[in-house]
Amino acid sequence: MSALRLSQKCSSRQLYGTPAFRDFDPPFGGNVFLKPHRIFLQTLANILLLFVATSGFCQEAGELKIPIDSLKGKFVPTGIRIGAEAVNITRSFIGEDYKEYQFQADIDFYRYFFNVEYGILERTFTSENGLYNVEGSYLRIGPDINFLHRDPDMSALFFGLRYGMATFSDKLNYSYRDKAFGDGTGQVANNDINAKWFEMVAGMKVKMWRMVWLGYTARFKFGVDTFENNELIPNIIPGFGRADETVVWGLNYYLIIRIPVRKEPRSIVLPAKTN
Amino acid sequence: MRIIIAILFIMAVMLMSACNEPDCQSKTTNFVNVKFYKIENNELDTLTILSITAIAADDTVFVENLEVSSVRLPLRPDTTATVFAFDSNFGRDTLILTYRKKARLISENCGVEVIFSDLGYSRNDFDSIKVVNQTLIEDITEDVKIYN
Repeated sequence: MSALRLSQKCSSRQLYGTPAFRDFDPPFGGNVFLKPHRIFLQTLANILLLFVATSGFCQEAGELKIPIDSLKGKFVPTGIRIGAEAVNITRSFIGEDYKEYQFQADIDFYRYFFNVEYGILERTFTSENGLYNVEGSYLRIGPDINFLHRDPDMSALFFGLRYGMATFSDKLNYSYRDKAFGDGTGQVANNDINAKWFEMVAGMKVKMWRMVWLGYTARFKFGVDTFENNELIPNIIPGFGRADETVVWGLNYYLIIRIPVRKEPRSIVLPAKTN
Repeated sequence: MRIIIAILFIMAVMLMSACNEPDCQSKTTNFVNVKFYKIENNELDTLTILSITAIAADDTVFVENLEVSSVRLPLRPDTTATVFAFDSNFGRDTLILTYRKKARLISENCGVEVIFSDLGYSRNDFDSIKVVNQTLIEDITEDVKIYN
């Protein structure tokens, strides 16, 4: 069954307050999505970020603009989103012993997204008896399903899967104390080792202004080899997190630019009902 | 709507469990627990040990003139083998213990831990020897059985 939906933007208050909205009767028995949504992303973990995004539906006085929801061309991508992880970049500027830059891109196929995420990490830990350094890069790919696919702004509330890969090197210089044989030092390293893992992800991507979007992704990471048999057991696996855990949780906040690759679906304009 | 609520709930659980610090209590050790047994009946044996010496640049004497059924011997942290010379009422015996060293940074607060694993032996002059635990941990009280 075809469905019609409202698309022209304005505030939800404006929409609900108009006689045209209250009295609008969906033609042909189709679905009309009059639900204005208020999406918020709020500040978390000392930094930013969950935000308020309000988008809605609206009409010019006396008319409603409704896009035609057709199966034709549904799986043709409408835009590419490219984003950078905001928290990592902020921490990289603040801290001298932490550099991480992570980027993501997704493209939509109707209610599905295909995601590619790439990052680089360089980090140094200093402890009382050791100096640990790790550097490497990681790549994550996988699909999402969007539960807000009918949203006129293309906002997303998604659930998805990722396959992660990392290549990294790390080294540890340490000292030890031994009453029997005397104190000493040691040095161990891993060169260009590979890690693989899986992730279940969930999150939101919300349009803020024109091409500017914000989003977050919560991650449940699992299935990694923690290199327990290596001479140096890594502390951190780039892209995965702590290497002493086989299951890790993560959260990323993204600043995103969306580049449209085709025009929005055709729409029709309905006159408003008047009593 | 139920799906949306479920996803938001899952994300909330993810956020709540996102941070947990590593446990600082390292239980690794470089000490080997050796127990002596009678070969004929597999019962604990008491040895009169004149000395146990670790052969290194500076030979280190650990035990002198003791009657014991078990000893706790340290492994050299700078190599992957330690040679022990036993002088007891059974005569002079040599034992070479081999092992792997693994290191990891637990966290900046907890520091580095060195793990001694894959414990084995490359030479022994006793009647029989058996390694019963290959990774050295404080809580384990028996790593090597020696039969005389």
